[in-house]
Amino acid sequence: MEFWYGLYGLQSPRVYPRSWACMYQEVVDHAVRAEELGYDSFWLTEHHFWYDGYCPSILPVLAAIARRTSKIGIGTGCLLLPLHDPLRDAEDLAFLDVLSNGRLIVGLAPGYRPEEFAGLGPDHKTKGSRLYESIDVLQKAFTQEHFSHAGKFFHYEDVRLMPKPLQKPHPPIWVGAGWSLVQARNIGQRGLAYWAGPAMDIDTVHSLSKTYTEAAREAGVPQENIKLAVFRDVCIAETREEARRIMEEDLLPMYEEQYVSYGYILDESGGRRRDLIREHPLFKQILRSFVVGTPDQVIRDIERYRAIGIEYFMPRIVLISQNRERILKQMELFAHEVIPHFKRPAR
Amino acid sequence: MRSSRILSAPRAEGEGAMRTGLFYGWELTAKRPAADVYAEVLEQVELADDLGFDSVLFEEAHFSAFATCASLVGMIGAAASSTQAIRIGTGVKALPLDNPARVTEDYAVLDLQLNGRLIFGVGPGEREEEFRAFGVPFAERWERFVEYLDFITKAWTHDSFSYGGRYFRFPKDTAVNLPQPFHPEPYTKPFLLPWERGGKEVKYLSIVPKPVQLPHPPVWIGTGAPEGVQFAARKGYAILPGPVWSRSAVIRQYQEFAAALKEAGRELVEIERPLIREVYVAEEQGKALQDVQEPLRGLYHHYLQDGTLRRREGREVAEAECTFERLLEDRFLIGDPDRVFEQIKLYQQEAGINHILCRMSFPGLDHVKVLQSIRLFAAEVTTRLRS
Repeated sequence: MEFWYGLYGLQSPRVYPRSWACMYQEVVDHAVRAEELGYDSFWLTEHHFWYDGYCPSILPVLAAIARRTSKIGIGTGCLLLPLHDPLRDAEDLAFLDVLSNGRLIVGLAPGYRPEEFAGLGPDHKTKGSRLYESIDVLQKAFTQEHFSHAGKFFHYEDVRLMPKPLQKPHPPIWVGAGWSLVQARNIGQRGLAYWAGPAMDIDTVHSLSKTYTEAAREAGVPQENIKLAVFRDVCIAETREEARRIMEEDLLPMYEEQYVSYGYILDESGGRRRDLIREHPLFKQILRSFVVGTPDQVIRDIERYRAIGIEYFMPRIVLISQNRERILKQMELFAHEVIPHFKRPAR
Repeated sequence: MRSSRILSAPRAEGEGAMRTGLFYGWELTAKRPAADVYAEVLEQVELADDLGFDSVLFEEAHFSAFATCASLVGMIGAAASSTQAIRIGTGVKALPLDNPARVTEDYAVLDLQLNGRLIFGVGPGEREEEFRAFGVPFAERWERFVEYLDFITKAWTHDSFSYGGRYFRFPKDTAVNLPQPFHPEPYTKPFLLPWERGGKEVKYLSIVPKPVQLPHPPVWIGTGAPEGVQFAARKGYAILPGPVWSRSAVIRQYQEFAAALKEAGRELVEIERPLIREVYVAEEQGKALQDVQEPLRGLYHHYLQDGTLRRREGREVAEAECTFERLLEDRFLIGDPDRVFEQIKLYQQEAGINHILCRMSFPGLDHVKVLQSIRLFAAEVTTRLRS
């Protein structure tokens, strides 16, 4: 099993304000530490125009990380491709793959926040078809010496991407998607790797992964390209009580702040009632998706995901920039106590 | 890995002091694996940071087998994490090629990564094939450049706003509103706090995070476009003459710039005055010439053929004018430290420049020699320029 470490959004929310400049230095140090600890890859996440400064440009930050590390994979989790010019992204991604000596993992997602589409231009309704057309453009640019493309959204004639990525035919491409079975099927049919979204319980993950795998097999996708990842919020500590305390003090306030602020969770009249959040059905499901406890308990939980065919697991220890010391402590505990269990060959 | 920290020369301060920097064009990638070139360039930049150089600028170059650095943000981002004090920037970025909201975000993030060390060198672009690939009309490049730069500086310095430009509207449903495209969000009742607005249809947006430097990172204008000097003077931005301009053209540009500044009610001394030159130093004059003669001859032969020289001079350039000797006289600062120091002083006296950016890395010139030239320049030239 592989373990991905993330997700860094470099946010400074009002419940835990930080200096942006400090966070941009710190994220590089955390990546260096993650490499020392043996994580397989390190991931950043993108959004736009959100009041807390949610990182809108993850590629230069990944470049900074690439220069200071030498083994760990670097991942975009996820690049909101329909909001961008795919040719520009192809150039930046190829550069990163070259710079990192072939350590890039490309995670892509359609995006969903209406204001991001309003600000950057593309029509919100076309995000799905834009995503897949943009992936076509990336793959052509990466693999063909000169490429042309005449699609619904993009036209290119005889363009030569320079340099090409180091990984051949190109860096692995993952698509992150939410709760939709249609999306899971689409990703499978196209032979792309599938990264299931957050905040869903294991039964939901299981039915999505079955849909994905079946669609991929029907389309004749080779077994080694059928890959599944999940990320879960993890609170890990020596004792169960401490783990629960981290959940109460770090994780839940962040969810309350971000989910209520953004408007994912509203009361019946559409109001933002932070005090009611814990009674909300969506939030109850989110709570069930958390992995909270001692290393043994965390191992047991992850074993359940391994049993349904998940081979890539991201413990999301960093949701937003919580208490730095607690992040590092959990990062170390997970690396020392949990990862070795899964790296041993199965008996 | 990094060389150990070397005690650096004191940074330039006060009137009469000269700043020193490096400049990179990407002809380096011709016939060599890009990975090797980028690694060497980063090593050179890291050494320059250790030695107390003030700045480094990277050129933008796309889709060419001869010269390519497809990702300026990647290059600057990488250099950000492995340097401490050196200012890093673009020299220059072609603004019309990208969505200006993305450029606003990218370079704010870079200024944060650099903790305020970014130099934002920009221009309208000049390679038609790049405009074709990105689907931007080449004929509109100057108008788009002016509008996009206006957008970017407004977005860096304001919170929630809308922009109804001729070429760019933000958010996209904003009506075109000329000549005043920019509008800050008016106060409305009930006033929604920033964290209570997500997921709504929006008329105004704020681009965050903001850069470290206030009011925004310094803007330098590439002078490849004829309008560049006048525009920079009106705005109070610096100009950045490139290495291919002849000595007389550089002096002329700075004279025009000073006059235009005066007309705009400004003074030359209030603005940073950079200049890019081809620079190489070795202990002995003959050795310096011998090291770079072939690489520079090849590079300028290319500039003759691809029209770069013609564009810079504004006229046809004959091959006879392009001999190494002529170029050495008109453009290059090559030789032993004494000679190079004297020539820089001359530019200081004649054109008033106070920031010399050296391109020391040429296609075909060995990485080790570049490192030696950087070291010698810091020890023998920078030290004297600062005293």
